[in-house]
Amino acid sequence: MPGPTKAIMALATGLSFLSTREAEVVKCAGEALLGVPRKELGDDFVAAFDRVAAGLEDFLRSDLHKLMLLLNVVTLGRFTRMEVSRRERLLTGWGHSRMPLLRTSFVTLRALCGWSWYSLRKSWPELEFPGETIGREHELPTLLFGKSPWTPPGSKPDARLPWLTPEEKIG
Amino acid sequence: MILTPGEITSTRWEVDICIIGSGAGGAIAAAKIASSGQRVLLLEEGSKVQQGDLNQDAARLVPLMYRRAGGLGTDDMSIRILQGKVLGGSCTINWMTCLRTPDMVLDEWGDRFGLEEYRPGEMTPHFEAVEQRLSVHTIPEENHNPQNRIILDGARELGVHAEASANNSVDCIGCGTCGLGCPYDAKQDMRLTYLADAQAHGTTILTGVRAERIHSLSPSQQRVEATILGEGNGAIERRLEVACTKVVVAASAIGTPLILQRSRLNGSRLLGKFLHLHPVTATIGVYDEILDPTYGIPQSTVCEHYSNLDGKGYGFWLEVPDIEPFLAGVNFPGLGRSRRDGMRNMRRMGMIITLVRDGADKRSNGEVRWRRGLNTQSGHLSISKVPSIRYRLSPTDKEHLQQGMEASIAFHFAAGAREVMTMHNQHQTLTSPGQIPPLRRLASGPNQLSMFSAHPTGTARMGKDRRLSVVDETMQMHHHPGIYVMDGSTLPTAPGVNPMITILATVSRALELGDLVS
Ligand SMILES: Cc1cc2nc3c(=O)[nH]c(=O)nc-3n(C[C@H](O)[C@H](O)[C@H](O)COP(=O)(O)OP(=O)(O)OC[C@H]3O[C@@H](n4cnc5c(N)ncnc54)[C@H](O)[C@@H]3O)c2cc1C
Repeated sequence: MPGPTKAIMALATGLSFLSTREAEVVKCAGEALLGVPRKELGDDFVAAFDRVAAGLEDFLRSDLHKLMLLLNVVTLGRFTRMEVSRRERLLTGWGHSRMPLLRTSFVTLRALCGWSWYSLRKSWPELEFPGETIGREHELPTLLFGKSPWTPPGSKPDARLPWLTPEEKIG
Repeated sequence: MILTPGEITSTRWEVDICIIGSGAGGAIAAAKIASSGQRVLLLEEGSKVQQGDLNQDAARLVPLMYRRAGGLGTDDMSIRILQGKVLGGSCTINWMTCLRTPDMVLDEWGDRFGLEEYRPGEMTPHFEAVEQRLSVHTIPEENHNPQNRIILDGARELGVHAEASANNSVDCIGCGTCGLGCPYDAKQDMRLTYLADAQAHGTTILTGVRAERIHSLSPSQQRVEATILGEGNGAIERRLEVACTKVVVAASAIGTPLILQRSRLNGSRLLGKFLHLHPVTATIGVYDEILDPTYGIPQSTVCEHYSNLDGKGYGFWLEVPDIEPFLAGVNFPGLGRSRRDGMRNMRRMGMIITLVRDGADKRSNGEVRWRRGLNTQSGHLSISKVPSIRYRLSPTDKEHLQQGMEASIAFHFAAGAREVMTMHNQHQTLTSPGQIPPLRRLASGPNQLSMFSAHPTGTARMGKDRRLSVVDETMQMHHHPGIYVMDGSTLPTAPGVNPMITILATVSRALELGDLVS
């Protein structure tokens, strides 16, 4: 259960796990790790990160807070003000470090950032990933497998989606 | 009947059998035990999900259906472990591959663990029955997506054998989002098969209920303490208690030892040890043509040519997974702009995974248990006990992983890849097979080469000798009569194939041998 100050902060920022300061650290780490500028990542990236972190057990959440702190401590509080290229070098160093703890931190941050960004719809256009298939099943290249018009479960026959024959599709 | 937390009015239940966990093991156990006329109550920590909930939205569904919101891993996060926490267990989110346990593995169980009852001949009827219930069939030739064809084309070029795999789907349209639960109810997972059978025979399933402790009062008198979790936030809302004659623990190879240890049902010192993961690493080929790896049936082909490298049934096999942006985004190698540029090639990517049958050195590679104090692997300091998963590849398993990675790169090039990436932290892009040998010089220790697993097994292994195993051939605990373990934990060794069918068939066999189905 978050204390009253945390609860008020959560109300103000919409974040249940990250503090405002940590949110900035996450954005800066994301920028370096994913190669996506901070502005483009935006607040919904931080919100996605926050949602996953909030789903972790208490002891892991406390580890994540320590990880943010570590980023600030090793850069003497300048992590969010560093050039992207310097941040990238710092994190690459962690990934190659002989210290297991730094490698763990690197891998954890990269996975969390990767997950948070690429689960957001706005990251998909550049991957040319059109998103959900629900409602556009007739466009699926793999629907050819079905070999016959496919009716979404529960739909009436007249609500059937437009169907293209395999030949038409390929053409 | 399936109840969600808000629908649970009674907090005291009295039944014959209480089952913990609704995955492969728990589901088939519930169906078979309930059909013998006993009153069964099944507790499932995860949420109830139905077709309408499975809207392909990864940002919502992964935190809802995966353990630790998808962030489960070994203490040092060197191996990420994908596992379901949802009605139907990991089968709800799995990739549907249905392969029988190889004869060599079943014979190893007979030879090393005295499990004569599980020899190939004895198991055949059980494989047949579960395959029939799950509508298992070989995937027709025309249904392989271009990504899966890498395995077939690569194998043909290299002169090795690969073939179509089998799965449990009906009218699959190849949307490619198996990992988010099937939005078309094509996947014949536990919810649509054994859990439906269990309900038809009167089983009550409570979802959003976590079993905390088992109090074993006598071989025929048990009490299970559980908590009803808040819908949406997972907070503890109310206590629940179940009085029963027997308990079946089916909370997976990670969850089961944790519940039993917390309940002090750890008479066997082996409980939690011998964790097998089928550790996986991946290689990504970039092709000139568009493969669209986000669509199609995952793992529709398989290459088992290398599964017996040591003559004792240990080695690796190759498959092609489900690629969704969020999965690719987590595992994609590299950093910064080059990583982003690489991800932009997603439509031209093909991924091969190498799965290692671990345990070749016959020692315990890993352990699941509660720990407190300083955890040297995670750097975490804890006053109270927290769940810990530790795992290290043994030398032979590590060598098999390396060989598998090398073979998968060869497959990519043989199938026409322009370049191939490995999962090393020291990001590697290869442009010809000649660059494979120097890969051995790269650091590939924990968190130097990305690894993951979706197949934890072995933490309460089965066998005749109580000094070598935790449960007997009926899956009853040697040291704690009245308590049964029926899930992936009981497999005496890693099965060497994707484990769902092995778990279903072994539980089916154990129920035939024991006295739970009377
Ligand atoms: C992404 C993914 C893809 C996979 N693909 C394949 C595949 O293609 N083919 C294949 O054969 N296998 C596959 N698997 C593996 C397969 O699904 C598992 O091996 C199998 O489901 C394990 O069965 P189980 O009964 O041991 O545990 P699970 O199926 O994991 O079920 C355990 C259940 O117990 C519940 N539980 C845990 N603790 C508690 C508690 N304290 N109280 C109440 N409930 C609890 C969990 O929430 C969970 O629902 C895949 C797995 C994943 C995650």
